[in-house]
Amino acid sequence: MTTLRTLRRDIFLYLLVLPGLLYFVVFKYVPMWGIIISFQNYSPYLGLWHSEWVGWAHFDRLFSNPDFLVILRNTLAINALSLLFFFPLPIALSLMMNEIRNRLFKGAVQSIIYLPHFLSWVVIAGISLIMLSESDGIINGLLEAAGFNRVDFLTNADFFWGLLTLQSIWKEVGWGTVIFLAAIAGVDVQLYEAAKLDGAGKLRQMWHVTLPAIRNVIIILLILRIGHIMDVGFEQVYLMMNGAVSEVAEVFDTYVYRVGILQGQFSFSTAVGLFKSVVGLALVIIANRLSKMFGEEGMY
Amino acid sequence: MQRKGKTVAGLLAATTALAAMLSACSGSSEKENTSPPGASGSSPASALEGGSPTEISILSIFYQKEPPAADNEILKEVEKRTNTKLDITWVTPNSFSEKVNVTLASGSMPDLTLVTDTGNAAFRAMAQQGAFWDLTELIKSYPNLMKFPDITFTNNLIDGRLYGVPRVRPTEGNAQPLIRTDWLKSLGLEMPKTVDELYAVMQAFKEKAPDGQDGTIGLSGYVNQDNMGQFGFIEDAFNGTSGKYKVVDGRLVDVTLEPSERQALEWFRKAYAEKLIPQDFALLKHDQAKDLVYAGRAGMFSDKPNQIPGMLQELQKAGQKDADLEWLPYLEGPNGKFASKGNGHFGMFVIPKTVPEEKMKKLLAFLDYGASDEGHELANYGRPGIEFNLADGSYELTDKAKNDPSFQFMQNIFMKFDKYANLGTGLPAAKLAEERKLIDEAAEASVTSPINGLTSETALTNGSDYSKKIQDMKTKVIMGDRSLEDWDKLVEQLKTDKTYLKINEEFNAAYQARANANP
Repeated sequence: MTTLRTLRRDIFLYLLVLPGLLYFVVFKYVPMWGIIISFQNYSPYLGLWHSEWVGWAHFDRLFSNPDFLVILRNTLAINALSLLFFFPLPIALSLMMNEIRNRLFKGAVQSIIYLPHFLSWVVIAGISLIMLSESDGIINGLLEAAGFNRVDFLTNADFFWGLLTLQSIWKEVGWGTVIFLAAIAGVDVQLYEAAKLDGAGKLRQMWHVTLPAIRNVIIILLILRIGHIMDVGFEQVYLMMNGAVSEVAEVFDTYVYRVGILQGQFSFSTAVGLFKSVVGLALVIIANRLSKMFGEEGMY
Repeated sequence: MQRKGKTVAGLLAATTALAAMLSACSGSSEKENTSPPGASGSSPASALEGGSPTEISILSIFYQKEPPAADNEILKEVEKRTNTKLDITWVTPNSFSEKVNVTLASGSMPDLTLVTDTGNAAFRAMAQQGAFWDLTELIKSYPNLMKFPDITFTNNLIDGRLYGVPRVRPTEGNAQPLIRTDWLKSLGLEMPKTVDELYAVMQAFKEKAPDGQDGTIGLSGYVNQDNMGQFGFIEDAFNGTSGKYKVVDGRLVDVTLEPSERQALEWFRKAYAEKLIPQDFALLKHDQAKDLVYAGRAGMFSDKPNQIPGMLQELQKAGQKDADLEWLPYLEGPNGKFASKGNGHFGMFVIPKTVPEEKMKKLLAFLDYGASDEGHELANYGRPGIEFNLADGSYELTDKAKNDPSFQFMQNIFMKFDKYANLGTGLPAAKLAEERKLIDEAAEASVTSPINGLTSETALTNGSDYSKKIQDMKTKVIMGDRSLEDWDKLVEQLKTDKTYLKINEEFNAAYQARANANP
């Protein structure tokens, strides 16, 4: 009874929400039926209803594949590096930007550091090749001129993860400050004044006022980030991969592309994708629990 | 209502067409001689004549610099001669297999869909389940298509049935080294004949740098994700076979596990250490590897002889006025003379079962026209007096044709079988005769891959993982990141890998079955 009444009362609010809901139902929930093909030997011609059911066979194949552990290791390692080195940087950068007093200068810096975000990975891979290639790369030219040996930056498996992390930092660190800067802008100015009265310097203010104030935002972004621990940007890895580094470069996304799209093994690659998503979901739930356990707000 | 009218008209057109075609078959040999090339007389294409133009949608690959514009004159001419309205989706080779797989999965296919990788598991399954028209018997009434050599058909059979119209390709004239003969001349060297002589030429190119540039290398090239790519020819010359399998005493042997493969790797390893091949070959793509040749930084690149005119044009643009290239017809390795022999096709056009029967027959007539002398000429050379002129029986391309970035686009769909089709177009008569001799030389030594047209279930699911793993190791061994002992270890490991050996067994079983079927 009451539900119906509230529904009638807020009818316009619900109508307002409707397009958004529809979007999620049509583009996110309906396609989810597609995951059932990971339990079939799906053939486009026979369709969803007539393809043969094979149970867990594709998952068996995935877990018994000796490459599975290698792919898992690469995926986790690349993401762990990114979490460790990339995640804190936009926070540090936002704190620094917040201290810039000249508005013109601040605007200019912001525009410059946002710019790489709008370059596609293809362009960045091209720049990397021009800078780092062994025979023609600019950096190797400089190294040689300075009397050092040429370095195989792009074809050395030891450098690959670091290279990816550096590329991500270069491309996204500026863009990553947007949310933090917005959060910092919302901090109550009175807090700073109070801190100043108590004799806190700039660093103390950052540590005791700014950071605690944006802690919530940091944690939510961290939980979201952890949910993507099984995803590695496909384009970036695919473009940077070559025969000399592929044992540290193959990740779930490139594997799904190679096996699923190029070889047309749709069911198997759906199974891989499903496994990835389940792990991601589990991690989000765990991270959220942990954050609540430590008395933070969490995501939901 | 309108739809219905169209189908009736289509039916009428198809029946009259069939009659016209039958009459065209008889006595077509006389007609070929009497009608001037390029004139549109009564040909199998008349199957499409009468009534409104047939609308045909096509998914095709293109290898030209640009796909043709919608109002391309040659495209219009094709439509006019075949009475069709073409809606062609042109896809670049870089993303073609991806596009085809997604198209197959979507379930809504164009009338003619090109499948280049006919061994693909998903595609074969669909063919077996009846997604495409079975053309095994039907194709027999199309005289020009029936002129394709047997190998073109047998290599495309799935369970003994033909599910598409093969794109015929010449078997000789494959990717083998194209060598800067002007450099050879200036250094007083001969065209190499053996793998060792080839190595010596590469060394001479590097050390004496005929065009005086620092950092000149011998041979440009690159590797693919799962094979030796443009270096494959030299590997094959060592193994004495095309690709992964070799016939020894009537059985298939996997050359990956043989000592000749190790010898090939040693050869490459040394070449890499001495900087005779690009130091970043693992990163290069086709165009980048070719650019090294254009810049005068490399003296050789493996490709088909038909690339020569275009490459010379690029070299001249780059200021290398005296540049000249020649194709190496064969190479002698430890296993004797070797040239690679193609499989006689490059995929096939399939027709989905959703296309009605009358239209399917029109599609066959359309492709049959493409395999006729007239259709072939139009696709290859264009129109007489506009894109080409005949001089002493050889085709001379006009500037209009030479400067058209999408010239010969129709070749991707229309082609007849011509042993010498892998030679460049527009060669002067004397040069053409010379080049033809090279093709004949290659034909004497050429070996085809024995697993062409054969399949192994295990290879379809796991094969690419192994190929990739093996190729990764080859790349690392060549680059010196891994030793030859590491290679030996991988070989030992593969020799005890049950899944890997199963691929070999399945191919052998299929090979024996085929050998017993056609003794």
